[in-house]
Amino acid sequence: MANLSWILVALFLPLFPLGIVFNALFQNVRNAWLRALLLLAWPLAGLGLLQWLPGTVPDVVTAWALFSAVLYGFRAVVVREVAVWSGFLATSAWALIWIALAAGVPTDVLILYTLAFSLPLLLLVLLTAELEFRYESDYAGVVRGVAEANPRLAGMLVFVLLAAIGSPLFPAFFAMLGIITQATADFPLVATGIVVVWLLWSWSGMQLLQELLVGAPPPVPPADLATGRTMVYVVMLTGLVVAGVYLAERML
Amino acid sequence: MQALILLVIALPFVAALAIQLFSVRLGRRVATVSVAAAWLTFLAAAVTLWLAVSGAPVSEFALLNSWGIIRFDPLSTLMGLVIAAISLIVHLYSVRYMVEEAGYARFFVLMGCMAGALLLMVAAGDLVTLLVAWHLVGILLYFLLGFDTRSRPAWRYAFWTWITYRFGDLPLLLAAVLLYQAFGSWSLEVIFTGLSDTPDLKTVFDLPLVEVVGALVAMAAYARSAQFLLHTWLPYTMSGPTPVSALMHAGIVNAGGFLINRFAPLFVHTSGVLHWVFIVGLATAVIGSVLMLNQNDVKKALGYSTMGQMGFMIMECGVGAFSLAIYHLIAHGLFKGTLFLGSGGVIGAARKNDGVPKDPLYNFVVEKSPVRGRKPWLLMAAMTLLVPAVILVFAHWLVAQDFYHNQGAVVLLFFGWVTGAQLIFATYRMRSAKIGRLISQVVFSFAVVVIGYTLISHAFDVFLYPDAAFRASIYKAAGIDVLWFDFLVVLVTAVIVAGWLRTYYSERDGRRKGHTPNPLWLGFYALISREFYISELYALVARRLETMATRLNVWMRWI
Repeated sequence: MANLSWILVALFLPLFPLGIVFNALFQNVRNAWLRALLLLAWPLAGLGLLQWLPGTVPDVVTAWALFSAVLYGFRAVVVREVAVWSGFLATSAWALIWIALAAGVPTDVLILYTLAFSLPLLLLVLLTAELEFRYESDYAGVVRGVAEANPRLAGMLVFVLLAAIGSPLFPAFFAMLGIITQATADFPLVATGIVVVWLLWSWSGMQLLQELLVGAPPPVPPADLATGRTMVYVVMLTGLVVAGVYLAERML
Repeated sequence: MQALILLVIALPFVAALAIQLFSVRLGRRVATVSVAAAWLTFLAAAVTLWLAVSGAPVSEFALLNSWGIIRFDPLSTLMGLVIAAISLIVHLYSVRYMVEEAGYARFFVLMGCMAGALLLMVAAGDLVTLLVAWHLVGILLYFLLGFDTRSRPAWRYAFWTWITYRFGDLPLLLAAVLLYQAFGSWSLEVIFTGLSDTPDLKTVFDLPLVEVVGALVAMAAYARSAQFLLHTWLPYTMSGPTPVSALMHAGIVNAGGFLINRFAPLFVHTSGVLHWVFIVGLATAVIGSVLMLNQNDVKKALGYSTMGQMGFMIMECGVGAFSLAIYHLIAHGLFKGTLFLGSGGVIGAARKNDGVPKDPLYNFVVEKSPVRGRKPWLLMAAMTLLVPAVILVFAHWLVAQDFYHNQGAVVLLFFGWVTGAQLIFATYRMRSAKIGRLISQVVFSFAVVVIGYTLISHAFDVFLYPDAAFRASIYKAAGIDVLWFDFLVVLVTAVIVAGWLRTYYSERDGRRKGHTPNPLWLGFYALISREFYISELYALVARRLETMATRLNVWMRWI
């Protein structure tokens, strides 16, 4: 029973190789809203299962969580498909929750960390649908020159991606800072590893972004994001920033 | 006071937001809004500096509970005015320069945010705010360098900058976390007080806290200030708009010097870190200067010139002359900003007339055809060696009679002496009808520069670090064993004099025998012409990593 609990939690807060399950499911679900739901519900289910875990997190699991986060962060570096990248980043980020758990972070703060990682990705999934609708693809090799063709969509992509890779003042920035702060006391080497994970996110995120944005637009560019929809994204992003600043004290 | 400081930081952000919201309605008038905000920011920054000079005490106020602290002190106000001034000049220049570019409003939004982030960085009174601002500067610079959304080279080099900056952000982040773990607060005031009370604290793996954090802070400064091995982004980021290059070379790249100054209360307790800072700075200064001389692309030469200057700035920190580094970064910022902003005009003028004077100075500097065998050589040799030394010693004696007790001051004096000797030596070899007048003018100019430099840097010293004991403790932290120091001074002097002699004899013999290239020299030339293959090495490592990631993904079927 104890082993089953560990496996179940490692499935929902994905540790390698169980992250494959989430990513396979995520990539096979084509509906944006279902994907968004998955991004939100999957890690929360993992957090819900934490109460069934017997005892504290062993050091080997902490190290394995770091390995999983590094592995998916590293693999994301060459991913050019926005949906696949979102899944990889989610897998990398959620693995870090294990380290926070091992460092003794209370469950309510773990929920904040999880939401800080998941919510920008949720927005990214919705934007990916906008890309697919316009370009019939979310592959950065196919979609190019979005900055000039669809400035509003490009702008939203920039902010959402920055939020996802943990840029200030978005909540993921404070979540990463909080996890590193908590981990440093007990696992200084693991904290250094988390720093490497953050670097990998920055590398992969900006590579993906510039592949999408830069270049000549298509001869007949598709319609840009509607003003109303843009406003919805702006409001949601502003909400993320406000939440980041407001909740920073609890996350640090 | 608080409102004024907040105004300095908030104005550029507010202007940027206003431009973003009303850009359609404003059209090209977005520039007016941006310039007006830049003027107001400059005036407010000038008032805060005036208050600091007038003796207003160091103070802080918090916008949030444990972070969001804004600090008012000499360093923040001085740097605030420098940033506001450079930002204003760049804004004014950009109004017409960028007018035909697509994304005019976006440019001013980014420029406003950059100015705000830089002002926040220098005024940050806690580590979280510092990290936020430090990180934001990297993000904004990435988008400014990649302003042209069609230019793949611009974005490629913007990415180099981005990844190097991120590489530098992370040591600062670890340093911040270690300090928080040690003192339980993000506030710089609390941390610095704690450090002065318990400087011998241990941190992870039982290592001395100040040494570990000092090394991490120095690493962050290296990345931001393009120190050797973390410099490759700087010479290549010339594809961005000229105002961005000016802002980057005049302001952003100097952040390393600021950071080391901000952590001065930590560095005074270190014993070995500043020596490494000196070595890295020295290596960067030498390598940057060598690479600059080897470039045939003016823009890259300017980039390497900045790298060399940043090396000097970091080296000054390494010898304990922290405030001199601030003076250096301001002087370099103004000088390099002028070069960049003037480059367009110079190119335009050169298309009509190359403006190259066919006179002795041109022959000497460009065609390298010095006059030889001018007499009396003994007098000239004595002047070459003694005059700079006398001027430098006199200038330093004016501000501090016991300057020779500080090893850092002696090192800087030594550099000044070498530079001065080189200058007078070069003058001696110039063709001139009135050599006496030429030499007196050069010596007089040198004296004015040295005395001015010494007096101004002393004024900076007293303003930034009013406590004489603290100033002495920075020099002490940078010092090494006296015997070793004397040995190194003698050794370096011998190397330099040997270099001069070798240059003299090789030139003389070369002219007699004809030029026969030495294979070793050719090998070295090939090495520097390929910039030590460092960019290629990094590109190779990046490609290998990407290949590895691709193989992993294929093996795991991209899930």
